[in-house]
Amino acid sequence: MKHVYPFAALVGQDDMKQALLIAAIDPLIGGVLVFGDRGTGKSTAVRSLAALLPPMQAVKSCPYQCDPKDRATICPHCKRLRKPQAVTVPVPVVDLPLGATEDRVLGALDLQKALREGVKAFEPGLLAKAHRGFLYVDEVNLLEDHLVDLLLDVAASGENLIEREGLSLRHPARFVLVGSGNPEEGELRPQLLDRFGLSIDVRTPKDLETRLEVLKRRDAFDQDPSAFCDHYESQQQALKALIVSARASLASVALPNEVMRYIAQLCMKLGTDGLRGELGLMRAARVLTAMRAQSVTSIQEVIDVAPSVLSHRLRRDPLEESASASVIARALRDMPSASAQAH
Amino acid sequence: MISNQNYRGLIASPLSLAANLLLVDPGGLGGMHCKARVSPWRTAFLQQYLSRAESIGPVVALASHADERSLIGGVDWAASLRQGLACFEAGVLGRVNKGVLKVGMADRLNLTMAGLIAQAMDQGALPPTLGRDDAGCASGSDLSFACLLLDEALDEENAAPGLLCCRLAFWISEDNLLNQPLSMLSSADLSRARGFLRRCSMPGFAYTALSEAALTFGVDDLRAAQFALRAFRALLALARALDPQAREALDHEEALGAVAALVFGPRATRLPNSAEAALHQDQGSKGELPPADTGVDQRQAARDDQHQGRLRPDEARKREALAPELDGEQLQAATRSTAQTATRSATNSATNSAEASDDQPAISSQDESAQDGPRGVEQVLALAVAAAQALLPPGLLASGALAAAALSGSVSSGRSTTRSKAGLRGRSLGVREGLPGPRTRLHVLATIRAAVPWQGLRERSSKDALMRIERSDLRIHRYEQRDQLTTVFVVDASGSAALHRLAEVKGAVELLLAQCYVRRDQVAVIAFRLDQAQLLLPATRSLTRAKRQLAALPGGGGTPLASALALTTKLMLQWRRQGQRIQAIVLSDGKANIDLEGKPGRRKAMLDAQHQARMLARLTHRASRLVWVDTAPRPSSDAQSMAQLMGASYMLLPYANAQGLAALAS
Repeated sequence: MKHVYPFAALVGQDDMKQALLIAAIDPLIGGVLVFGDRGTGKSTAVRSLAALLPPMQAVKSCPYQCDPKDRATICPHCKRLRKPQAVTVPVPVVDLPLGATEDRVLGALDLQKALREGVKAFEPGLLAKAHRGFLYVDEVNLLEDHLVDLLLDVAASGENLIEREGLSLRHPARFVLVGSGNPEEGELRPQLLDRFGLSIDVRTPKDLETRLEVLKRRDAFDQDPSAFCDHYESQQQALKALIVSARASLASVALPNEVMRYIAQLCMKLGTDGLRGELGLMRAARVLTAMRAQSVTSIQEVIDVAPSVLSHRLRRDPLEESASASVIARALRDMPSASAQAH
Repeated sequence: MISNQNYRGLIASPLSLAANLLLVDPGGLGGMHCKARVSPWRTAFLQQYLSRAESIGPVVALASHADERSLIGGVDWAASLRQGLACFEAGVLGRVNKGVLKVGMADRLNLTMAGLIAQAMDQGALPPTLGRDDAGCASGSDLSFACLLLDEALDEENAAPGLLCCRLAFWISEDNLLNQPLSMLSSADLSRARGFLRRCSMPGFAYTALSEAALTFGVDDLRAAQFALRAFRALLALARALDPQAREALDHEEALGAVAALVFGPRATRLPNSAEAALHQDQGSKGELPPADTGVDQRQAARDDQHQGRLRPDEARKREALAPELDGEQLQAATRSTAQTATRSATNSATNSAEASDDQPAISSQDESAQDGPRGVEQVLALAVAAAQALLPPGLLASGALAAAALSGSVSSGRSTTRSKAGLRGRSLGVREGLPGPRTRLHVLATIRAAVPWQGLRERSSKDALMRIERSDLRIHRYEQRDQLTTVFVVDASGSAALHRLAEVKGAVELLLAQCYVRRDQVAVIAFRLDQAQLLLPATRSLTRAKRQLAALPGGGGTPLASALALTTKLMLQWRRQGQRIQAIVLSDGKANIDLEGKPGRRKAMLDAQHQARMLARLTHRASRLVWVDTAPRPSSDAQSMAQLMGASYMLLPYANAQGLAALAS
């Protein structure tokens, strides 16, 4: 068993950690995009997320890890079962490599069966593996266009439709898309950008103390991974418990009218496209409320998630110089009712 | 202080240090980026290093034409068809465990391959292959290897993919380590050192010292600090292996200084001498200066240092050799902003070059101060800075913006990918008869379909096989891959209207980049002024990068049209080799007055320009579109005839505006 660097041991990068936890609590948030310099712990954070996710129930031997309770499934395997057997499986966190072929992503003809038995059988690909879990694309801005098309299509419909090599089938593929990349190497297509619920800008820490701590922890991990993981075990457990309890209380979080009004005003002020901004902000603020073990969302939660929800949704004037984060910060500062409504 | 000669040799020679440490901890250090063209030196180095590496683990070379399948393994078609089973064969990564992956011509390595190698390094496992979940690592255990990237790129633009380079601890290049002696330790010593690797206790101040050193050299990537730490650990292990009494005698400061210089030196984005000053400056202003400005400031700071005689004599000589370049740079940087500052800096640079020559006999005071200074972190810094002088990237002194030097290393994204046309990806175009190979993929169903009618006529070879498939049945996929379009703006930055024109071109570039994510188009900008043309913005599709590099544009001076057209031709040929479609948009009134050699004179200049225009037309007319935008107030015959010579379409756009230009290009 290979040890993975524990999520709880990550130093700094609080925005990124918060966004990943929000997505872990509520998968419907629509994915996380982490943009920033090299060597800021983007991949480490995403890969360490898997260990935090509470295991889920799945239909036994279903290649798509279907939920046994989901009776309306389109899964070709589970549709035929009358009484599916449930097993506990870990939530998948699947890596989508940069140069993956369509075969690998979508799935393809099962060779063995085709050659040996002359049967057309489908061999599930990465999208099937990521169902009900996370799909992580490192260097997402370098992903080839046709793969982006595939991802957009599947992410929008929640199902993977195969029409190739004489195969014709569809299977469920709902996953949280997590992308990371370096903006210097290319921009992200707006349609794909729009799919991400949260977008984070990470920067390399420039202060000595933080860098020192990163170095020490990483070294300790390299030297003795199992002891290091043991040391952080209690914190990991606490985070796990946080995810479980936040999920449970999420449904009962109340969103008062004045907070909704504040959200709408903020989005109007920033001129975000469509209503996705408002909806995303509402959802994320509620998750944050649940994470903080409160029952009523306050404006503070909205303010805390606003930058990550809205920064990639601003209508961008290419000639505009200032970063979207500062635009949002300015708008938040200028909101007239911010202090009045907070209490 | 250890007196062991082998150890002293290591500390003294960065190249030996890197090569030996890499053999002590190959997986942890990731590997080495070796930037050198084929030369006797490189051949000798490789021979020595690889022969030692072979005694420890496998050395596997990655063929330059290798594809994804041969890297991570995949279906063995011949065996599969023969046996009627899906048979897999291991790829290069499956065979390299605990060894060295040698990547020749890494500058031509495409992003896909680099991404897969990086993924394997990160996760310590093979990327999954279709149809096999266990990833097929021979032992099923952790995969670790060192990657040796042999990069033959001539310029930063075409260097090996940055995402792979940043995962390798050591960057060496022929510029800084050429002619260095290489001494490899014996296999016995190395393997003893590997045994000590996990049992070395680290002095407490090592973390602080290395973190400080990273900041001093302006190395932001946190991986670099980890690499330095691992290198230090490997060096401790090596010291113990060489000399059992080393624990007491080892000079930690010296060792830390050596590894810090080795790892951070080539990554440096600022001159360590002036780092202190720059740091204070940053803290003082409480804000980040735009990169171009910091570049100027730091060069200024470097000059001040030099002025105060803090540099070593050899350094001063080196600097002086670079003086002409620096002055050119200074001029450009200055004219980038406004005309007033231009005059001021021009006088500055004149005085500076005078100072530089005065300073040549300056004597270093650094070494003395290092000896007297306090032990610990400060000493490590001083030692690292002193040791790194030879390792600093050569561009650091010569190139304009220091940040740009750091940038270009990371941006080189292996653009050569577009060359593989047939491809394994893209939109499907159907099926054709043919053999599956490295660049083509078998269409299984079509193959079976083609074989079925013949089954009755062919004898079954074995009972297991359901059908017999022959060579003529094999069908392969055909894929279409869309070409990339590169738009290059060639802008006349001479004369009084230059600033306005450049601003509009900048706007057009940004509009184009903002619009063309989908097509993945690239935009480049060439500006010509003074005595020659200059590539202001290398082909990029990053809006972020375009904004940064076009932040301040130079303008004014003569019209070296011939030089601009020559550069355009060169770049267009280069891009065309990479399989891109190109369109060039020239903005000028066509009145050349600087010839190809950079000398003024209208007649020669016009002749040169006309010649270059004809060359451009002849060399690049296919697969490219040329537009001449006349920026003169009235249609000028010069521009018209030039456009005609080039075979370009002619447009009159005296008040070129960003929207108009963007529309023209898209």
